[in-house]
Amino acid sequence: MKLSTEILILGGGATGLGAAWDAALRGFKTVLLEKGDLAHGTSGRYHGLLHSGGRYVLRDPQSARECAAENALLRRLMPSCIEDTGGLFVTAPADPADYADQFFAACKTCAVPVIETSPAEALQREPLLNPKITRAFRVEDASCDSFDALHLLARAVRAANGEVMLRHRVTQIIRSGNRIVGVTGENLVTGESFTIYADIVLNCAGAWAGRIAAMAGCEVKVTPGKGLMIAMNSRLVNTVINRCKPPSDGDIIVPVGTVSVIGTTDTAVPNPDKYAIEDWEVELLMAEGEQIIPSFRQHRALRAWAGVRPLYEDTKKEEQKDSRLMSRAHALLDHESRDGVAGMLSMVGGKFTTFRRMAQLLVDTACAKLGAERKCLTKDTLIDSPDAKLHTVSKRLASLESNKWHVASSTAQPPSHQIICECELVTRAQIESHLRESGSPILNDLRRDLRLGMGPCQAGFCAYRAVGIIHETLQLAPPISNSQLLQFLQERWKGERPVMWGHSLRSLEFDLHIYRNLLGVDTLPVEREIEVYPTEQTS
Amino acid sequence: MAYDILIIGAGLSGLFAGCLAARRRKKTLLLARGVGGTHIGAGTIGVADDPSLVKRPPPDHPYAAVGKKSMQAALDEFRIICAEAGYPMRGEPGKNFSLPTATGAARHACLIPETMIAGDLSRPEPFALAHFPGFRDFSAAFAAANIRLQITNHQLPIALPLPHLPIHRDSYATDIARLFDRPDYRNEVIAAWEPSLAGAPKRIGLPAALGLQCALEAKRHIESALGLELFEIPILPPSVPGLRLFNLLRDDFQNHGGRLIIGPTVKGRIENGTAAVSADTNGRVKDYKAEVVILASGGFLNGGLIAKFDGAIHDSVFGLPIEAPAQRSAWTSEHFLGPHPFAKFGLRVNKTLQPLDANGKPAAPNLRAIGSILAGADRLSEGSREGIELASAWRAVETTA
Repeated sequence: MKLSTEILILGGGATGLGAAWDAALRGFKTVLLEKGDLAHGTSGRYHGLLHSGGRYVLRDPQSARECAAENALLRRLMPSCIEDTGGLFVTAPADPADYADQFFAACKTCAVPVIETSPAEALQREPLLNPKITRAFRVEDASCDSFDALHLLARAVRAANGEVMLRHRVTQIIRSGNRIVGVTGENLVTGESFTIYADIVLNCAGAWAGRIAAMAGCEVKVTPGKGLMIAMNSRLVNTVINRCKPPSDGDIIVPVGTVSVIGTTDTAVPNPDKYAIEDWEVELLMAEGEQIIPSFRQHRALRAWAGVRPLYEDTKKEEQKDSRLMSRAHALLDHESRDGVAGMLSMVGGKFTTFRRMAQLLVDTACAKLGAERKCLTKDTLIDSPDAKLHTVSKRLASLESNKWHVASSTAQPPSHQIICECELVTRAQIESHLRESGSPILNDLRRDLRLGMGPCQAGFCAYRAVGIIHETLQLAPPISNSQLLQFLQERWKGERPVMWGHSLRSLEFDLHIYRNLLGVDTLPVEREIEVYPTEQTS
Repeated sequence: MAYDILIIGAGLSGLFAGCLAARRRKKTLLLARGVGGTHIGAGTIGVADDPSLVKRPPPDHPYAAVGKKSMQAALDEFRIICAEAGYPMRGEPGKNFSLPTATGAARHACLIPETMIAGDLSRPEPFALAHFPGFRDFSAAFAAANIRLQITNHQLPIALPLPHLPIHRDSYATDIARLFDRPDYRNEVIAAWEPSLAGAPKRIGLPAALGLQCALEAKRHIESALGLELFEIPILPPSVPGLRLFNLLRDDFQNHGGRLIIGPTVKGRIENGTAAVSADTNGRVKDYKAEVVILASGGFLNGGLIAKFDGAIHDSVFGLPIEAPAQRSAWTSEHFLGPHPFAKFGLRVNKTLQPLDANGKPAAPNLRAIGSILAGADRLSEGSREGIELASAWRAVETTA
């Protein structure tokens, strides 16, 4: 396949999709390539916090201002994936007493909305909080489902005539002299190779941006900073809770959907595709969780996962060892002035909350390079449909209750409202419609799109049901279906393994009993070996 | 009131031990927090995928502690109990059936109920799998596709519609099984299925849901009306064949004078070298006295073993410590399907099935441990779960004679 475009974006995370959306809205012919699925990388592996900016007011006031402004904007542009939980900064007994006043003053300076409230009021709002907190501040944090957000963005890109091509991996960057003119690569589903020519290439590959830059012969040092998160089995809090202290490990708890997530840690790792989660990291988060919620350990940990932050290391500066101290702010690299290679810009670093602003900067610069004067429209364009409301499991339940079972049960057609994943209320109709749209047999895509298998049972029941539907709908060769089932179970296991104690271990033995003893999946023929650290999959 | 034998746990091993004790006219009490593993099991008895495990078990395996004689005797007596209840289990020690699973893999079992017998994969006659439209816990198409990779005489799956499934919610195997218990329902089914079965093979595999109270009667009724053989395939829990085993063992135990209490939290303690038991029902605590206490509370899955965050593992009733590596990451494999080291964690016992303390001495002379709480076996990899349960139950009751 060969095609040409004006703007080519590499990377299907928040930065890349934001840039594609921005470019397409400005009327550029736009193509985005992603080697995995939407949100396959870091955007799909964060704690879900839409920052109020409070966390950055003292260390990085510029980021704090940007977060505050973008937070307010995104709530309006994409309400269906943002839950207005509000946030609290609380001073726990172990936190430095003088930080609270500095924090409060800095919020005012940075235009981050903040109201001091009493510990008693905070406790009334969040009864599980540590009763020994001494200060509490309300801020405008929110909880954002990044899977939903990125699906919405991809839809918005397509609606603006942009193209989003998933499972397309770039293998080579084409140069003509000192100018980049396009890329070649492989469609990982069909095995076909492709060539795309572009007037300008925007490298938005996040933690993988260094690899893309290297293909163009430029050195960009991106240190993957591993951040660990643990999902607890229920909403321990309904408000985002931050520790009121200088940012460090395990100081944020975010209610997300039916669970709550504690994060994060920060460790530099050599490889963004392959890293282990270690016992000490889990223990650290559990111990910090107890500082915020004394009963933290009594709740069931569901799974642990890590995302890799793309931390840009300016090679001209002294080496920085602690990746948390590296800038969380974004860096826009113009390879023409920096490396003498024209036709490519790289956006590295940054954070989910400010993706729109980063995209605007990037596309503004691209416009200047292309000599086109086109105004950014993303500030005033809804990503959601105008009547969109926050999507919750309870709404799913309400809609199921109101219109289910119209189909008589004795007819040959299975009822479309049949619930396949009971934890997240995913129906047969949703799965079938996803399959018709994507044609992808990958169970992990169903998970990212529909939240299949993300709830308390972690796919114990629904994986078998879903693979049956995939098999029936797509008419696959059995070893392909079998591989998908096993790879999905392995993916769930990767996150569960670090939290194997108490009820989690019990739940593991139950799942093993189902899949090995009752179903015998360990003896089924597979098409490909099951990867312990899956990076990308093809059919 | 003092009992001869007090059993803790209402899974396969606890119930079977209860039947054996009651049948030997022991005054027996069975206490359990809830029902046990039967409700999620396949309803079959797996002893060992490889028969040499029974003949030459590793020294720390439960089979080494119970001995070959117990296994033979346990299987014999189990079959007698099932046959007397009108639910015969077929098969013989040392041999395994190979049966299809709901994914189309083969699973092995030593004793199987008559409702599964026609699924024997070594038989040459062609068969087809059937699904019930609207029932989500069995995909005949997926299972059949895998079976066809290995077995050429297998034919395409067929759909057999079921009238009167619940209309306000999804149905489970137990819903269907309760319908099949009714003769009038079966007559409706026969009429509904007849057209779909024209030209179909004479052996049909179905999700395991052919009746709870009178499964054999249901199977024979439909088979004779339609002129074919039916066999059940175990599916996602709740397990109908497992519930049948639970019901028949419970009835046998109670019919022989055993007393069954399910519900309270059972707490054990060792006082002056003797195991004593109390039951806590919402704060009302009652002590029970018994000559012998048999701990059949199960492994991690059943709540008999508890692993703590700090890496400590103990049994949930007596608090007996379990040997295990301190690092949690050493408990599991990075591969979901395992094998996982934690599978072999449990109580170490001597040949009398007395749990041993850290010094290798019995924790209490009147205490026995049986079933899935025993250390030394990877039940999933060996296919030995039910064999260990039955044989250790038999051996434990024998030691009280």
